[in-house]
Amino acid sequence: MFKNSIRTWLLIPLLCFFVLPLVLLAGFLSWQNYVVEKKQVKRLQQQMTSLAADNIFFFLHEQETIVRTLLKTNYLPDMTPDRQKLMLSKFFSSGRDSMHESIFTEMSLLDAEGKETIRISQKELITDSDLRDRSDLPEYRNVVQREDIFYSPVYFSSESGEPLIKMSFPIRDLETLALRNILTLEIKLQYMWQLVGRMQIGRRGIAYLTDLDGRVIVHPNRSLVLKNTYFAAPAQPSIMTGISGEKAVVASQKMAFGSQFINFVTEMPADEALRHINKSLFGIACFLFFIIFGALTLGVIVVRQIVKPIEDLAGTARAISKGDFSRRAASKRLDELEDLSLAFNTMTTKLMATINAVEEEKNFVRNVIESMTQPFYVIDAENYTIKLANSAASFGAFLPADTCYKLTHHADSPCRGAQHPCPIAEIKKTGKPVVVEHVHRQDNGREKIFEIYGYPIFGSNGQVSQVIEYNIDVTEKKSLEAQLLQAQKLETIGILTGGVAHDFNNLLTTIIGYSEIILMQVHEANPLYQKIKAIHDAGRRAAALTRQLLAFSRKQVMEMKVVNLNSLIANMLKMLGRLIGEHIEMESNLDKPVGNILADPGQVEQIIMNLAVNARDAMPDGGKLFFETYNVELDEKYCRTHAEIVPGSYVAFSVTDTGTGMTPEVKSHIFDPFFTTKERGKGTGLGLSTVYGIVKQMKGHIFVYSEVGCGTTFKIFFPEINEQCEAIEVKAVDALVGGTEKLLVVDDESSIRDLVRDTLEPLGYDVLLAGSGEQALELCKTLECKIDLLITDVIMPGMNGKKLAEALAGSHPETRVLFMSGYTDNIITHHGVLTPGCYFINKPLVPSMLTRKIREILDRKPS
Amino acid sequence: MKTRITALLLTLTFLAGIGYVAWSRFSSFHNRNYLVGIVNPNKGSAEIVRGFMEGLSSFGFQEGDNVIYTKCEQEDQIEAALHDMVARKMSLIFTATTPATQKTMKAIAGGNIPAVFAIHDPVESGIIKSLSEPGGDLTGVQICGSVPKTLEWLLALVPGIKRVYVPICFDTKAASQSLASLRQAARSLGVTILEGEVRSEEELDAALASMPEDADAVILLHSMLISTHADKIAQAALLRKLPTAAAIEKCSEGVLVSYCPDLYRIGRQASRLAAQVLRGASPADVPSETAEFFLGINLNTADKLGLKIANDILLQADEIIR
Repeated sequence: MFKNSIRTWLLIPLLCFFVLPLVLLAGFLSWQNYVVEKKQVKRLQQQMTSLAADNIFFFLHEQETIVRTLLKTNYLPDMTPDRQKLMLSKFFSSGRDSMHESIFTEMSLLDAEGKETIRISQKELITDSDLRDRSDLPEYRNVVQREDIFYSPVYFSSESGEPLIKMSFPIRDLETLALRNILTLEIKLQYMWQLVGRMQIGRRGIAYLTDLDGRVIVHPNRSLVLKNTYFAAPAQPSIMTGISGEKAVVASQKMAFGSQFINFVTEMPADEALRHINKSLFGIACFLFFIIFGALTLGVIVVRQIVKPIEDLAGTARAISKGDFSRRAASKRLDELEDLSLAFNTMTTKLMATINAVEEEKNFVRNVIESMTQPFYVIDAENYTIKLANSAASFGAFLPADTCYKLTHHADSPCRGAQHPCPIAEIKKTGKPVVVEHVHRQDNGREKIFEIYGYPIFGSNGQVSQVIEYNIDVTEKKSLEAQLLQAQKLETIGILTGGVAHDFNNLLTTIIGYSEIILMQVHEANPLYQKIKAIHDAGRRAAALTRQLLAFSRKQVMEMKVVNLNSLIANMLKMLGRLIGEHIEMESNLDKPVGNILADPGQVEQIIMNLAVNARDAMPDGGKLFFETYNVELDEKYCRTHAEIVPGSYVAFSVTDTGTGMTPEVKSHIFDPFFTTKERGKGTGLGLSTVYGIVKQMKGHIFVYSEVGCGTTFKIFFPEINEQCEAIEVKAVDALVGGTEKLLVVDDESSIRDLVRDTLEPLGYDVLLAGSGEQALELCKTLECKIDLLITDVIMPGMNGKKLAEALAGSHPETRVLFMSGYTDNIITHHGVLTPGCYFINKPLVPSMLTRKIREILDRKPS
Repeated sequence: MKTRITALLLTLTFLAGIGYVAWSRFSSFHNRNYLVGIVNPNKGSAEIVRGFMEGLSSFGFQEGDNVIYTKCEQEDQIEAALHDMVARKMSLIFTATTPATQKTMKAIAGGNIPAVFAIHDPVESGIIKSLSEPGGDLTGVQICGSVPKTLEWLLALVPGIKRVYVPICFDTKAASQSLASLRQAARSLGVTILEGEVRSEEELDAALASMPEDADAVILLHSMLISTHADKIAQAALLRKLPTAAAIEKCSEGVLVSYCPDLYRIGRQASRLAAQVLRGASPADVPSETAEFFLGINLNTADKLGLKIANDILLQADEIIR
């Protein structure tokens, strides 16, 4: 109630300006009234006292009057002693008050010298011997001195405590005025207490007499007098504790009592005297009380009327500020407070709407960042604490003080170094967005690479205040990139080598061709034979080399057939054993039936051979070589991490050795052409690149797994094909078998033309030559005979071989075509696969192979 | 809420104030009942009791209203009665005669019961320390009168008396006290005292029958027995044509002159003191008083004795019985 509130602020003025002045005014008036009345009362009492005192005076002196009368009417000196005694006795006994109490205790007649001549006592028997000389006593002396009636001071009987007074009257000679006798009387003052008792001092007031010392000599209560009570009457009327012990208005009047003085005191009980004052005070108090009570009540009610709605409103405001948005101010009146309440409610509703809108916005933003699958968070640029993070960040429940480096790296300080550059530092420096890479080593030793994108948020001061970061796991991408790069690299190399090989093949054709012809014409004993043989062998070797190069570059033309790996490999195994040596143990698991694949069997053999040789070289001290085939489904997930693979069914072929294994460094270059770990001169470095090229051309995939000291596994995946195998015709054809057909040879190289003619004519063929496609067509037009076989180069200036074949097909539909080329060209194949009816022979031409091929083609049944 | 509490408190205070005022106004002594015991074995002074009771009622102590009186007038039952009164916690005990007062003083000793007496000489009897300061549980009225003056008046009325017969019973201290002062006065006045001690009514009868021949007068002094049979004595004296002076009570039939207090007045005087005590004053603080005494002359008796009383003397009498 005493806190700073409107209620207090209203009530305090109310109290100060209304209640308090009222009280003060009433108090002041009452006090004034009281003071005035009191004075009045005292004054009145004094007046009354004075009046009463006048009455008392007469009474007090009544006895004096009586005695005077007695002495006036009876001249004692003229009487005989007996008569004197009788008279005095009568007078003595006459001294009774209205209650028949005796007034006199003693009476004496003294002679002029102060000796008693007569004494009368109420109680004592007086004989002559009892008469005393009282000349020394004041009752005699004073009279003599003052020549007047003597009043003694009031004294008290030692026995009974009664107040007594002595009066002495001088009796003088009527002629000489000489003192003849003195009459002394001892008077009991108690006769006066009836008088005093009968005085009306108000209703309950009393009057009494005290001597000047304050001893009470006459009082309505006799016991008080006998008890030796003192009371100091005030000179001025005052309100004090009276003789009765009560608070009373006491007034006194000093009176003469003969030659003595006494105090006449009146006492009126204060409550009676001040009755009127008290009544009016009481009235004022009551009035005041009711007024104040009423005022306070009214004030409180009014204040309540004003304050309560305000307090309610304040309460509602408080509740709302604490978050209880459903509260509304109650309004029941039609005044300003009502307006206030309504306005307040409207405000609250609007506030709620705003809050809801903001909440929705927030939720929307939250949803957006939560929908991201990448970790997304905002970091404070100063202290690196996380301001915002989505669930993908996997921070869990983080504290406001948690830093980015603590939550992402479990570190105590920001990222540093080449492996973890800190994007924030960079952004703070440049103020521009950055992309950095972090490399993280996982528990299993694998690396994960993250690209962290950082964007600055600028504060109002233009400085970077926060940084947005989102990071993408690019491990896969990088891996794929690496793989792609590798493939591209190899592709490039392939193109290069392809180009070279083509020309090379042409030249080799001449060398091999003519050397072979010469060998056929020269006898073995001829000393030139060996030399020519050497040339031929060298030529053949060179041709093998170029063939390998072409194979690597995937520029070979392949004759694809549907084959089964298991049978292929099984056939090869026999030969392999001789190739790799006895110190290596070969094992195979070809039991599981595997699906068929589309492959060039010769090329597959090449693969197996090369892999086996490689394995042999990796196990110089012997080891194990293990072949296995199995079906496998490669799914999306696998294909994501392995470049160039399409999901589907594959037939897998793995070759495992227990050799030295490869370092990751070596492994990354294993398929590069001319890359070799062997010494110079040992190996061409083309073996695995050839394998790679062949596999790729067959739409397969090859992967290598190797660990230093553990060995190496090559896995090759060929796409499975749901077709039946062709029976592989192993036709043994004679070396140089001839024929009589008509052959048209087209090549822009004259040496090639000549070689082919020189090879084929002796065998009986009818050979026609043309130097270009156009020439050939010209020739065919003139000749109106059928041509059995067109033997043409593919790459020729002007019309190429393919076009020539197509053109010829129009006029000579029966003509078969045999293409010659150093490498494949998309012109004649669709990625290395010949269109049906087309045949192909690799350059450099080997006459035996050429003649065999020609014979094969010509012998084939028309399709 | 706070307003209501304040209002409630104010109302309660107001009512409390009114209640207090009302209570203080109305709780007066009128609601109290007073138990007053009266012990007076002297049948002759029954007037004292009447005066006492009437006096008390004039002070607001009405029998049947707020006062219940318990009387004991048998001398042999006094102790038992006192014991009973003490047990019942009397508000006040009024006693007359010295023996009774002495017994009362013993009975109430150490208790809280005050007593008011009316006896001959309380100081001499040891009841109180002094008249103005009684200083104990008792206060009251001294009724000794004046035996010497009684004798003096007797002589004033009938001069020539030389021998006075005094029947006396020492059943109260007052008797010996008054006898002592009589002897003294007699010496001063040249009168001879003829003492006649009696101890019971029978002895009194016998004594009266055998009154001394040469007695000129009879004087009655304080004693219970004498007081009880004062009439009888006076009659006996009258038969012998002897004037009787009484120092004990007013002149009843047969007594010529009396100079003593008025029993009724004594009672009333005692009642004034008793009222103060009942109103709460301590007896120690209420001074004891002396009773006024009066000269009474019975003219009838004077007639019977053939005496003529001078007017001068008659003038001095407070009471004349004609």
